[in-house]
Amino acid sequence: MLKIEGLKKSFDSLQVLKGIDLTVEKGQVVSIIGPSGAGKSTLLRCINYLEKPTEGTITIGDVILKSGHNRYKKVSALRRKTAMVFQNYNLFKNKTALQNIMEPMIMCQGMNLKEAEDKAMEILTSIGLKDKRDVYPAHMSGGQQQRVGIGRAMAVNPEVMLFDEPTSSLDPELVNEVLEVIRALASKHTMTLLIVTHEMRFAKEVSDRIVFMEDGLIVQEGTPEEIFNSMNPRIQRFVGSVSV
Amino acid sequence: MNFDIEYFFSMFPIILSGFPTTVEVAGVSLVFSVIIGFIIAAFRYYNIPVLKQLSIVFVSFFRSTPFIAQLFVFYYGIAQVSRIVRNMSSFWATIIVLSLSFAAYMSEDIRGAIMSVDKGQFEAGLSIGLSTWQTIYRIIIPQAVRVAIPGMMNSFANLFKSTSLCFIVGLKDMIAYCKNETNVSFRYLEGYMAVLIIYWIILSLISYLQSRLEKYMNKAY
Ligand SMILES: Nc1ncnc2c1ncn2[C@@H]1O[C@H](COP(=O)(O)OP(=O)(O)O)[C@@H](O)[C@H]1O
Ligand SMILES: [Mg+2]
Repeated sequence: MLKIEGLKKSFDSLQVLKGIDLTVEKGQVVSIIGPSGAGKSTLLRCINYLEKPTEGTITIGDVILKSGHNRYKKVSALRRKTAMVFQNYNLFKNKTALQNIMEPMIMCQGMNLKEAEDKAMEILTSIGLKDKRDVYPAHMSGGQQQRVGIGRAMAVNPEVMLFDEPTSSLDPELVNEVLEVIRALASKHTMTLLIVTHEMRFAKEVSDRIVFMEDGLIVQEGTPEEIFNSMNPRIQRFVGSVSV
Repeated sequence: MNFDIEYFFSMFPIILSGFPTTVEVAGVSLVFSVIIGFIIAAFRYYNIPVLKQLSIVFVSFFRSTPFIAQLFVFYYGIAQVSRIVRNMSSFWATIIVLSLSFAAYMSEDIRGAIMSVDKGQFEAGLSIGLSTWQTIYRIIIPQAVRVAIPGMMNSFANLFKSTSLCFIVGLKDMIAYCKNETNVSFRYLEGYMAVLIIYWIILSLISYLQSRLEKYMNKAY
């Protein structure tokens, strides 16, 4: 279970998150939508501790992390329970597809090379990129890179997987192959997925719940039906303007 | 006066007696300048207060003053106030000044290379659970090295050529051997032509190595 309580984040004088409370059951798929600048990325980055929360508590399973100074061990424990899929992939450029996926297994889970390679091949196969095992990111399409990005996050074996606009940098014709991989993960309901996306149709079909954020706050959360039939005019306008 | 070709060729073994000294000075200075350069680059990259400002002054000073003047200030000037420097061999004095001077150039090559690695690479490392140091040595440094190599090889080529000034403080390098010999024979043209040819060959080798290294590293990904 992922539980966020009273999460606030400021950059100098700019308050970006103004008090977020959110609880997500294990295996649930939650999409986070809202206008640009709402604080969606910052929320995900706090959960992965790429940003340090100013106030509040983040709980994932048995790891409880409060704002303020945290020992590296605690931070590391939280990062092992989370994995991030970045908008611009951020694959390790000096490593092949296979090595990218093996990295968390070797360095953080203490697997030996053989074991890690077998596991990584399984993941590569599941994302349909078995034949790209020895290819460097520079020689892959955006869609392929992002699938490897998801594969690398899977290799962390996290409780919560965080997606920050995973298809926003892709050419339209490559969006589907990535959504397909996320859909497959979502349908298993083994990991909690938190997906920031502008793909409204995808969010509607894949999510158990949708969260609408604006100006550092959660304006409304509910089932896809509830959000898409919201009485809130701002949400109506938002889902109306971006849905396809 | 005619060019004595026989004398010209006879100069090569004489000059090359200084080759080991030149190579030792250049090699040891290379190692030190890379280490110091790396530390300075880290001070500046991580914005460490005071040390960062000192680093900026250090780099600016050594890059904007003539090497020969730096050498004189150290070997003759500081020797007047420091017994350690006064008792120092010209070999080690040369290495110290070369190392400091070229650390300034190396630090700029290294800093530029680290900054050229996308910030997202660092975050990706942290996000999968690597520590800061693991991310630096497994992800950032391997990528930065590719960018840093051409500049650092250039700096090394300049360092190598700068060793030729150090005979002035008594270093027994190739130039020193040539000078001693030609001061007696007065055949400066033959002697120093031979010096030029030797440096030309060595620097061409360094440059060839550099292009091979770059080609190899570009192939990796
Ligand atoms: N590192 C940062 N420093 C300063 N301001 C930031 C930083 N990161 C994000 N912001 C600001 O926080 C606000 C929310 O950003 P973000 O979380 O990226 O929103 P979203 O992902 O919903 O578009 C924006 O106004 C942005 O400029
Ligand atoms: Mg964003």
